[in-house]
Amino acid sequence: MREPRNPFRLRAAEQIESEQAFLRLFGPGMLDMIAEAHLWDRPCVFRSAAGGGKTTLLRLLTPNVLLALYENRGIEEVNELYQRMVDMGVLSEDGPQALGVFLPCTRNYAVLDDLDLDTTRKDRLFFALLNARVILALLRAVLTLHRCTYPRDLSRITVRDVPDSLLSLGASKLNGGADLHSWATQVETAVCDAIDSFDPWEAMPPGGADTLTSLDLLKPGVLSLDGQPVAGRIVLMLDDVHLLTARQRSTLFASLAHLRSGIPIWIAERFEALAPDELLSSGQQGRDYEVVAIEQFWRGRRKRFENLAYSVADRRASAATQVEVSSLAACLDVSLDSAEWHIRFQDILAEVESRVRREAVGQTKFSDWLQHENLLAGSVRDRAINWRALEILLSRERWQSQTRLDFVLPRNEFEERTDSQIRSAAELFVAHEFDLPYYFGPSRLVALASSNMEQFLWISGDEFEEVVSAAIVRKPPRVSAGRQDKLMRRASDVLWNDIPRRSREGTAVRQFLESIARFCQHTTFLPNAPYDPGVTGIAISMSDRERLLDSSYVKSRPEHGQLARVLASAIAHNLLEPTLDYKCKGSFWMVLNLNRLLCPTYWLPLQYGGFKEKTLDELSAWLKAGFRRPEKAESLL
Amino acid sequence: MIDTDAFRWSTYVQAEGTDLRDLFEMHFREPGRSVCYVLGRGFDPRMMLGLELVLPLNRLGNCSVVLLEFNEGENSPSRRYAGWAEENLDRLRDLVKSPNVIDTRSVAVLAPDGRRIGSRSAANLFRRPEELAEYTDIIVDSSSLPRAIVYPLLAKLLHLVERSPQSSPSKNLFVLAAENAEIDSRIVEEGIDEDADYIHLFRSGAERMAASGEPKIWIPVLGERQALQLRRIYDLVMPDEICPVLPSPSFNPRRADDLVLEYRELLLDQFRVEPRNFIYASERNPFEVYRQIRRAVLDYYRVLAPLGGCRAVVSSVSSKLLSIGALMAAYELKRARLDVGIGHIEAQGYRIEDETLVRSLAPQSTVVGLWLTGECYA
Repeated sequence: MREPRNPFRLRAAEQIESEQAFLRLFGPGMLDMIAEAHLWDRPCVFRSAAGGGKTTLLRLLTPNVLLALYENRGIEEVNELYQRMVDMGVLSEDGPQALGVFLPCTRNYAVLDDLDLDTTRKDRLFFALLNARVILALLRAVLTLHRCTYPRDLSRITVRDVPDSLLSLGASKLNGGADLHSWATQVETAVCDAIDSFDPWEAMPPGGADTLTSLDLLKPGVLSLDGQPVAGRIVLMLDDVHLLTARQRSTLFASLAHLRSGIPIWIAERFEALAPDELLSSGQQGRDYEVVAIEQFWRGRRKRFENLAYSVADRRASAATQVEVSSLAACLDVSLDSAEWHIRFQDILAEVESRVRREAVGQTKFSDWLQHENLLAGSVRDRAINWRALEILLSRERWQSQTRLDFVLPRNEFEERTDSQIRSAAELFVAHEFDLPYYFGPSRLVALASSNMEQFLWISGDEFEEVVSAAIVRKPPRVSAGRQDKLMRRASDVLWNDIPRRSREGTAVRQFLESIARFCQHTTFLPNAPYDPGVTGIAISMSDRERLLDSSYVKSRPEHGQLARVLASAIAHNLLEPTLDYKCKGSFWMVLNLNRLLCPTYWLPLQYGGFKEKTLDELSAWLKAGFRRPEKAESLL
Repeated sequence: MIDTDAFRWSTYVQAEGTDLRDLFEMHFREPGRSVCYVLGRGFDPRMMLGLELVLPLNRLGNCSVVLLEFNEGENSPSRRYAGWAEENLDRLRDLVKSPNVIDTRSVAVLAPDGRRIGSRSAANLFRRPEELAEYTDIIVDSSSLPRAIVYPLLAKLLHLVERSPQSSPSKNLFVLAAENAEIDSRIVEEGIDEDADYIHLFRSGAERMAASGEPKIWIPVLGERQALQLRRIYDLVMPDEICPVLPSPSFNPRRADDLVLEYRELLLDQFRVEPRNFIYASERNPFEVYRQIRRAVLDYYRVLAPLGGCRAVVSSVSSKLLSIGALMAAYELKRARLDVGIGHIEAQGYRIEDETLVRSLAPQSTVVGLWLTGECYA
């Protein structure tokens, strides 16, 4: 395939062919996710929306990548990763100490559940195929790790003390790699041929089991190559488990819990595998397995995600073949303080200042505030924002005018009340009113990713495209604030427009999210900015959430049943970011923030924290008829 | 190994418009024709065009109309066009009078847990050759059938017709498609599945772990506004080599260029397709699509055989007509025991952009007929 022109476009781990390229592009910060998990003790489930980075993480332990990492450990750009893998016990100075066996769960397992067979026979077929594939993936991984040729060197693999469980699979002899391979290929071929046959399927394939017996082969010391153990530790990595049927998935999880094999097992699945009730409860920790919900992990560690994103962006930028740039962030304008914006802000300052002075005319209480030195300090842009913040304060005072007398307000109250929140609101109001760029700069670019790496690569790829294009026409590799803002708004529009196409119940999901966004916009742009810097989410009480989880309740209230399905679909596609048990006003809430990339279309800020509580009836009404702005409400829109 | 020169459809019969009418007029002149006409119940205003052409011409024979009903789920966006589907049904009932009959069959599209099982259900609509014994002609009208139904249904019918006892007279299998690019572009898929899948009967080769070291070749037949579908099929296939099929020659001579422009980022930046890998096939000739795909797959097999072989996956996100060409190639190669899958993605339903226009355009559609097997090949 061709060399990547814009490496940000290589989104999925699978798209990056060579191990060296994969390692160059891998951000070691990803390992933060697993550093806190009990990886080796019990099954570990990685869950996220599409593009969260699950497969990337699994690929790191595959033999080719481990070998490449070991061989290139002296190179600066992979050294940090190497050290962290050493700390995890995966690598040492002697080479790879662990071996990852990567097995994607394809759809043809699910087909087995559609056969005219009883449940027991379906399960036996399912485990027969799964065991066969675990064995095939294991044998291939072992030979790869030891640089042997597959399948020629299978005979060099031996099985010590063949576990009894393996003999129950139906093979007559399983002494070595060649036997195992032959048996597993035979089982897989038989099942696959049967699934794909034009004629009705009459015979059961050979071999079967009621559980994942092949795990016994992954135990330390069971497999040897030329008489030596194949690896210190073998990890089974099952990817795309959401492609199994719900029944197969629960059977598999139950089987793993029952086996308690002590074999490290990593399972990656998308949120969509979860039923609506599981989604609304956000898939909490299982008793028998560890759960890492990737986006939620990063939401709780925003600074670390920001660092990871910068690191990934820099690695991608460095890998570009047509432009010599080592950092994307360095190519992005970060402020509007440059000379080209100076005159514009002078006009804005003059207009806002005169508006505030007109508003304050005849009111002595603002006299000290109007002469405050903060209104004269900083760049012309800072001053414009400070005056706009004062205008918000005036608006708040106007609302309270009946309860406060016209005494001069103290200077220090102005300082206390013009905090970073109100300044953020003022910045947004100025940008909206004067049509200035708002969504620009590296930190807002990362915020717009909503803790999802694929989303980050998409939008940063759009910005890097500008850098590549600039290089072609021999212009400086710089993306102006205005251009960044345009690109982010365009990406936001694309995400909105894609909702009906890409999500289940897409039309209803879009209408519901539009209602949330329009409500947030209305509340954010009230003249007194009551929830500065703005509102970007809603919340339902935890007791209402319990009702949505209650099947008899949703049956009795079908409109709430539909609301539950729409919420689940939006969460599964990372369009709403849930936070459970958020304490506010003496109650507990499930906060549902909009995906940050949905914000630009509605001029919403990117900070978290601003939400409004809603009842299920209110939200159901939005689902049906959409949000309607109160007619008499004062608004800056 | 398959003979690379012995094309199954090296000669073929394809006709459209008045040519197709003349062909059927001549065909049905012979008395005693017993026709099994399979069509889908749907909202597409082109649903009845094929039957309205064929039925009046088969004056000397009889016709069993097999009407396939498929429920895309309570929340399918297509439900808003239930009225259109009812109108089509009324036209069908008006047209089909005794001795002709309507045999309505339900195709389960969704399993109780919401999984898609439509392609498997479609393959099971006809199970044995005896079920076709009474017919001389089988006509599948793909105009209002989704690809996930058409592919396995046609493949299974081809298989059953070929398995008919030697003693029975040769059966004819036709496929009809009412083509109208304008209408196609205004019927938009909504609620596209999160994951693509292989079509039933064409899945196993691509998913075998024992062959996972063999490179995968993906041959997608391109159509407009299908970026999301292509991306998701790509995620399923994870190909090592991609050979996109572009429509050329085409009515709009710039259509192939426009497609490359539309998918520039996807094909060139994300998938990193080698420009020399593009394959060209006429936009109105599915037999050429078949020939081109067949040749490309066989070339890859031949070249990569010394290195352990390869696996091929075909997909079509283009018109129904060209999709049938992709199916023909996959069918022939599967019969030759080559690992060829058909990657596909489905949607919850459809939305029509500009309903009035679509209605007005329907009568201008061209019914195209392909004669896949039977007397003309004897």
